[in-house]
Amino acid sequence: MRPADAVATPALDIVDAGKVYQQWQRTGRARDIVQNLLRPQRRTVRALSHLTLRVMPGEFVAYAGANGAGKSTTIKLLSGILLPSEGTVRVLGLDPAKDRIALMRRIGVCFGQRTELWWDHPVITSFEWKRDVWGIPGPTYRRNLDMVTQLLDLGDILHTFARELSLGQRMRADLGMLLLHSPEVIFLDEPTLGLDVLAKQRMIDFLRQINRESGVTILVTSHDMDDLEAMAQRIVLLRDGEKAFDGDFASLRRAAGAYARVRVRAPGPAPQVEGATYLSSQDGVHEYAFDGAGRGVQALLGSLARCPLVQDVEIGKAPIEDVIAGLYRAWREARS
Amino acid sequence: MKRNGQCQGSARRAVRPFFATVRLCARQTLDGNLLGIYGEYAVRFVQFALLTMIWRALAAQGADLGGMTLRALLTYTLMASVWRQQLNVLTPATSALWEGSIIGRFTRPVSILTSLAAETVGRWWVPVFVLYSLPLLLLSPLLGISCLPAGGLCGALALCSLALSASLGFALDLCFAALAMRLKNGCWAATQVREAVYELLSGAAIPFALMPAPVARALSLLPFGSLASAPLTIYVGTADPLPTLALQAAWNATLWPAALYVFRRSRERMVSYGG
Amino acid sequence: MADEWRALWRLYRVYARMDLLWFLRDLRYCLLQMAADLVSAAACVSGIFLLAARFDGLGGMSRPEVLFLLGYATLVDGVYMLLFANNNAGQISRVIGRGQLDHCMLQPVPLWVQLLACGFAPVSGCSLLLCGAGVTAWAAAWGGLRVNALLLALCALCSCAVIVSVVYLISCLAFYAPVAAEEIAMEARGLFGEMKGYPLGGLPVAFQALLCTLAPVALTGWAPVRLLLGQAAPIGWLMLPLSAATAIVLMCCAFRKGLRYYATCGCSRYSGFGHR
Repeated sequence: MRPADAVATPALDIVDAGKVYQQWQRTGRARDIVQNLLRPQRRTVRALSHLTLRVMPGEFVAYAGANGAGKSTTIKLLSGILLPSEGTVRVLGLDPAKDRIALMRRIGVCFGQRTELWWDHPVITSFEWKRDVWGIPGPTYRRNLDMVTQLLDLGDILHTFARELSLGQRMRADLGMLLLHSPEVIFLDEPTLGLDVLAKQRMIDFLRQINRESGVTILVTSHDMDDLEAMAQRIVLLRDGEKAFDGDFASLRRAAGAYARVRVRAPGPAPQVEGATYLSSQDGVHEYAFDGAGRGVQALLGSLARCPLVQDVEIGKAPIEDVIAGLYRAWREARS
Repeated sequence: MKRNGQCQGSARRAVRPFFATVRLCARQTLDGNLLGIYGEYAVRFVQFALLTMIWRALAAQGADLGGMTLRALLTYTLMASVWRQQLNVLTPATSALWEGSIIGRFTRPVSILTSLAAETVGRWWVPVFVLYSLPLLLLSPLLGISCLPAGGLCGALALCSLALSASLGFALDLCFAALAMRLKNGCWAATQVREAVYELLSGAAIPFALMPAPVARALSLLPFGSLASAPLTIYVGTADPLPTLALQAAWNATLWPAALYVFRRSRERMVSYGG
Repeated sequence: MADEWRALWRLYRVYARMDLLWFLRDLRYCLLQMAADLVSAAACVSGIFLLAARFDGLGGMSRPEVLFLLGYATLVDGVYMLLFANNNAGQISRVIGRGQLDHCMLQPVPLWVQLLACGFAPVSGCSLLLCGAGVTAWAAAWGGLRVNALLLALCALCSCAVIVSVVYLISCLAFYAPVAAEEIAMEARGLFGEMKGYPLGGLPVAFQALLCTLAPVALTGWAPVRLLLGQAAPIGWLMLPLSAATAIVLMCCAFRKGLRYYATCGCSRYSGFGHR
């Protein structure tokens, strides 16, 4: 499907990229009205700083960070909507700013809070509009339309006005439209925002499927870390515009020093468990954190065996949400 | 004495939200970029200049100006430009209905009408007065146009008429907002028609005195005529103030109950659609 | 370049079909919009025509000539509506100020092609054009005015180009002040609203010159009509297209500069309101 040399070319290649914005400052005081009109104060904000990132074709990368970390800015740089203040950005070997038109034929971009559907037309009209504007050949269009209709269950809503769709339906339709031109790379900015559990699950399954079967490279941002872990193999964490972590989720847990969790069912107060730190109790189930590395599990099981009241034990990884929240907290404290 | 103090306190509590909203909305506009703001006013000024030039050209040709002197005609056009916001009240009601942001007004501990009025005053009346109307009034002697009324009484009565006109404008705007609610997607068409009809029927651009007599008589009796023509003709002393004020009051008495009724009737639809 | 013109043609067809679909699916709203356009035009025409009726002509023009001028002004509005009525293409400051140019950047088509094509409304935007053509023809017949239809079309296109250029030029402010200038296209368009229907004969020459250059209202009504009626010097036939071309070049330069600013600094806000 893709040219042979594309395999050697990184899907995304960001080198030492930075982005600086100007923000207007307003005091809100009546006496500053004239100054606000004539010479408003500005503040320089560094949205991205020395970001270097390489993603190979077929990778599924989660792109995470706290609010204002620079996730959406990165996607805008990769789409050619914004120019980097410094450094270089290449997508599929192309410069997004210079080769925007050629690039847009090969990538797909979806901002979760924005829709590309035509509001006052049925979904199918938006799809046909895309076919004509992107110049998608008839057979490719029909094949992809069948695929997205089937996989995203769009059959019932193809002839419904976009303005009348629920959020979940709209996201599915937007995603379907995104894939009509067989993009090699897709950027998704918070695609699961506001979706219910079932809609989210369907979207995650679909994205994993197209990544696995069609080899589409995917870069996805979200604040829901469980979603990201369910989708991606690799996570890139941003902190104040800088790359703070790049690796898989297990490495992230290790890097964050995240302890594993053990849940113990026992009547009465939480029993003392040697080598574990008590966290919380609810309905007779007590949760502890422990260091799962080395002989930690064996030592823990040994000490649990010595507690006569223990009825049930469940061991699991530290929730990724907790890991990330801990990291964000630590970063914020370090900054302050 | 204590009771009087309590009354003052409750009055302050009632007007405080109004002025807080006015202040906030005015700041929002005044904090904007000067070029952006003055781009709008420049267009308005060119329109004003063009009309005054045309009136002067007509007078130079010795045309009969329908009983108005050139001085009165120029003052009429000047004050129509200065009072434009008050003569053509446009609240955020229609756009808020369309955007769905009207629901936010229902979550405030203030009546919807107070919210809309405060936003109108803050977003349009205050900035336009400070940045356009006041400079234009100061500039008018240099343009050879008098900004003074025909007499002290005319000026005072014109202010009363302006108040009635603004009140009538709010009522009409509410009626249009309710109509927009019914039209949903077609609400912009209704707004477009309203703007165009206002320009012709209100007498703000072309005074009724310059139109054929039967047309002028008919237009001055319509509610749109009470919006602009009434206060402006009283100001320049070409209208009989009392019947004009009485007609404005009558239109207010007719349209306010109608506006409140249709607005209330649209409330359910407004909240469910807007939400 | 040939590819870009082909893309433009393709997009015109796409948007024409979508406009037709809107007409077929939302007939009520579409008819309402067309009726609103007609009422607005009638209101604009009536005011000035009533003046002309009262004074038996206006600004050095007879009543049929004034009506012809008003018909021409409506015709120009009709061309504008036909080409830029949909998707805020004619209210470009909204698109810029709301941060919606991002959506255009995601399409594999040059921006100028998108902006030129996305407003095309051959069905819902045709009412003013037909009305303008009708009034112009009627006025010509009433006054026995001899007008070349081809030159009329050429003038209307030049006038429309002037309006679009000025609207886009002023709308460039929205790149730098997205909130304050979001609605500035409406104001710029307002400059050409009722004003272009006024006969400007008898006005001071300096003011006429101003209205032919800096605030080129005269180029969208009075000046081309005088040319068509043979009342102006023939050099005007050169000046009108030249003025339109100058306006387009100025607009392109300003828009390019604004776009550069947009790509460098981004838009500090996004609103999906009114998008498509």
